[in-house]
Amino acid sequence: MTPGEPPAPRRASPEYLAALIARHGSALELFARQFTTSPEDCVQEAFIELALQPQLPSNVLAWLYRVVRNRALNMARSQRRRRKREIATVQDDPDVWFRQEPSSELDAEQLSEALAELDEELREVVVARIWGGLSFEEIADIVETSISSAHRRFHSGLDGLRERLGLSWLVRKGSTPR
Amino acid sequence: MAGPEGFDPSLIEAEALLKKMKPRPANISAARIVYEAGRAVGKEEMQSQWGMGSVSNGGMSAGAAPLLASKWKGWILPAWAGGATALCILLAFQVTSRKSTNDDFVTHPTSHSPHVAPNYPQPSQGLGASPGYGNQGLVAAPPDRLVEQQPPVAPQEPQDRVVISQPNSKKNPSSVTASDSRNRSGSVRDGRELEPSKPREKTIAEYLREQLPPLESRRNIDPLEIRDGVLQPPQAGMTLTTMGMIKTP
Repeated sequence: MTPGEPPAPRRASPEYLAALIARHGSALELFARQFTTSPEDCVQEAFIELALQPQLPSNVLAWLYRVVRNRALNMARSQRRRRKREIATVQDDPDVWFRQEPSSELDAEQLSEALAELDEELREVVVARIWGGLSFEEIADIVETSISSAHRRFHSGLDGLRERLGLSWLVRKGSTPR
Repeated sequence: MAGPEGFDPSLIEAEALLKKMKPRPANISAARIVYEAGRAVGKEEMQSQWGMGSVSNGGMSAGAAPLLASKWKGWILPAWAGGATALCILLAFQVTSRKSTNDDFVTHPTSHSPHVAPNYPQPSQGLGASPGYGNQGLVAAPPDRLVEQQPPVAPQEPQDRVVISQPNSKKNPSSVTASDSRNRSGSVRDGRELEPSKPREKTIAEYLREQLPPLESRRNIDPLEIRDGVLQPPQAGMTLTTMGMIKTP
């Protein structure tokens, strides 16, 4: 748990669930949205499963991301099987994943498209790191890879985003854009 | 390529810039999750109770009931099979009874003209006639309806009388439609037996009288013995022994 959050009770109380949703719900949905077209269902089922746990896991946030990822991948597989030709994949027709605010320096739609174009293994690390706030250790545990691989994926994904978003001023000298 | 976390300053800048973008708000509510979790908890508790068999039903644990039911499912015929079996049994019974009834009738092999008793309605009257009933235009109406719609011209005959139609021409008694004890309901058994009524010329008593052998021969008494005086003609006060019908050693 990040500092500032209420201490985790033994079981998930409604107040604790509400605090978790308010703080991490949107990021969890974004994390699920990269896999499936029904991210709300995945996140809701993950929270329900958390509420049913007799004892809260030691790392609630990492646990939630892992459950959401598994459910989203399963759902994406079944969706592809059922309506292979009807449903456009996230990569083919991404909707806007972010809120467009006046103070934003980036275009929400452009960022959504750039993120959707990334490889899945890079994208999930970037999303979990930037918007999920997870550490590389937690990400490595969730995506079942090593910490160094998580690092490499994050940096590669970030480079790809910079290139796609035209953030040339962020490309450091000497680095080769992908 | 940056090594450890936060080593590359440009990556930190890019990360900070991207972090400013907020994902779309989540479309989930804590109340909904608590409600769904409560439902799931209730279902799980019920399932655990059933699995543990804590709910007893007449000495049999409720947990074992579904298993038992699934076993019985294989034993019991499905509904359509039961219906088909019942239909087959009914048809077989009908065919058997019709065959035995037809065996009782006196039919002429060359006669195809149906006959009917005058107190029965004709097929043309259409009393509940159903073309689907054996595709023979049979009259399938309840007995009371038949009684109600009988033609008033025909007198009611005793129900135990067998009507034997006699040939009007060169034909012999071709077919008999009986209203005997097997057909007391008044329903018509076979439409092929129906025809506009023919005059009755013999009753069952007359028919039996003709068909049955003489009474004496059935008792193994030779009428010639009586005629020859071997047996005493019966007189008042005589017993069977004195008449010679019972021989004593």
